[in-house]
Amino acid sequence: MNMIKDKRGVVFTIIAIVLAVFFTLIFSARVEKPLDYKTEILETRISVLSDYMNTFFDYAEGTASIAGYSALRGIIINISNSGEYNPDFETQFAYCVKTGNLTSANICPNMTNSSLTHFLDQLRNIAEDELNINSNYTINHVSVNQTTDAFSVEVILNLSVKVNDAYANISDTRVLVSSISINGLLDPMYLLNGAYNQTIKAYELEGNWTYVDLQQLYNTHAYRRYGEGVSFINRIKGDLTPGDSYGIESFVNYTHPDVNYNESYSMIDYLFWQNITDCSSTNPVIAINDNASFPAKGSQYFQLNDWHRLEFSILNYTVYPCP
Amino acid sequence: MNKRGAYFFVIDALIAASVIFISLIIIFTSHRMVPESSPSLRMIEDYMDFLTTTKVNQFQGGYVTSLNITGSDNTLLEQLVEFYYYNTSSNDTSQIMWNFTREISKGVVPDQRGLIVYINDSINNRYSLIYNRSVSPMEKSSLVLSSKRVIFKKITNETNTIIYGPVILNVKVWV
Repeated sequence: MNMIKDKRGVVFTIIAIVLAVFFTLIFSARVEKPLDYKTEILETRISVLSDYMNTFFDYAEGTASIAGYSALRGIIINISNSGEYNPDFETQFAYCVKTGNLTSANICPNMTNSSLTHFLDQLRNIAEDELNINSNYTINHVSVNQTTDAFSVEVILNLSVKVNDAYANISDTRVLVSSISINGLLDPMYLLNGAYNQTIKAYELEGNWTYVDLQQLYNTHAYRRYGEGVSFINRIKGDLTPGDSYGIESFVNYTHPDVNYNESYSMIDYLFWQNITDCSSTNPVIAINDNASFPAKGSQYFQLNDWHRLEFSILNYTVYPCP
Repeated sequence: MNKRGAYFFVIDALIAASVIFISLIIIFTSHRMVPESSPSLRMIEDYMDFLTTTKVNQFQGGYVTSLNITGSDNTLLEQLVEFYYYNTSSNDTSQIMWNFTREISKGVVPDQRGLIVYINDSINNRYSLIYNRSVSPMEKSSLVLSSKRVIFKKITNETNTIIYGPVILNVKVWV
C-alpha cells in the first residue's frame, strides 16, 4: 500500500513536468510579436527610399551642370564646323543636354556618355542592382537662361522621380537650377568673326577699374563684366548688338599677325570684329601712347573709344579724328 | 506514515509548481530577447545618417583635423568618396581612408561590434575594402546587419569639374 502511495507521488511529479513541457511548447510555438514589430524596419526602409530620392535630385542637379557644360562645348564645336552662329541655341541646348543630340537628325558633338539621360540611367540602374530600389524619372522640361552672372549660365531642369519597392511608393517633382561656368569655353565671336581663337577667362575685380586692370585684361586675354557688352548666349546666337545686362568684353590683340589694323577701330572685341568704328565727337577713338604696356606695332597703337578710356582713367592718349 | 505521506505530497507539489514557474520565467525572458536586432538596426542607420549629415569642419577628431582638408564643407561621406576617387586616379590614399573611417566610427559604432566598410564602384568594376574592425569573425556571427547608400561627389580640379560616381557605400556591423 505504501509502495502505491510512493508511486503516486512520482506520477504527480511526472504530470507536473509534462504540463511544464506542454506550456513551454504552447508558448514557444506562438512567440508573441507586438503589432508594430515591423514598423521600425519599414521606417528604416522608407528612410532609405527617401534618402535615395533626395540623392537622385542632387545627382540630377550636379550632372545637369556637367551635361550642360559638355553641351555648350558641343554647340560651339558645331558652330565651328558649320561656320554659322546658332540662333536656335536655347532649343538645341536643351535637347542636347537631355538626349545628346542637337536635333532629332543631328548629333551634338562632345556628348558621348555625357547627356543627362545617360547619367540618370546610370544611377537608376545602380539603385536597382545594388539597393533593390526601382526608380523612374521623367525630364519634363530643360531650359537655359542667364540671370545671375555674366560668367555663368543656368540650366533649369523640371524633373519628376518615382521611387518604389515592396513597402513604399514615393514620387516627387522638383525644379532644379544648375549653374554652369563659361570659363574655358571658346568665344564663338572670335571663332567666326575673329582672326584667331580665344577662350573665355574671367577677370574678377571688386572696385573701380584702373589702368593696371586694363593691362592685365589685355595681356592675359581675359574678359570683364560689362553691362553694355555682349553676353555669352548672344555671342552663340550671333546677336552681337551691345547692351546686355550680362554682357562681357575682351580686348583684341592688335599685334597678332592675322589681325587687320584700322586706326578707326576700338579694340573692344564686339566692336572690332564687326568693324564698328563707334566714333563720334563725344566718343572718339583714342590711341594709348604707352609703349611699355601696349607696344606699338609700327605706327599701330592700342586703341579704345573715349568712354572706355574714361572708365580706365587713362590720361596719356592721342585722339584720332573720326573718319 | 500518513503524516510522512502528506509531507511527501506537499514537497512534490512544491517541486511541480517550481518547475512550472521556472518554465514560465524562461518563456517570458526569451520573449524579451526577440527585438534584439532593432537597436542594432537603428544604430547602423544612425551611423549612416551621421556620415551623410556631418560636415568635415564640424568633426573635431584629431586625425581628421590633421589632414587639413581643403573642401571642409564636404560631409564625412563625401570626403571618403573624394579620397576614394584620388585613390583610383593618382594617389594611394588607402591608409588615409582606413584611419579616417576608424576615427569617424569611434564612439558611433560600439567597440564590441565588428565593422566593415566597402565602396563599390560598379561603373568601373571596383569593389574596395575601406576599413575592417573585427572583434569576432563576421562569418560566425548570428547577427550581421548591412546598410547601403548611393553616393557621388562633384570634384573640381585644375582643368575641369567632374561627377565621380555614383558608387555604393556598404557598411556591415555584427556582434
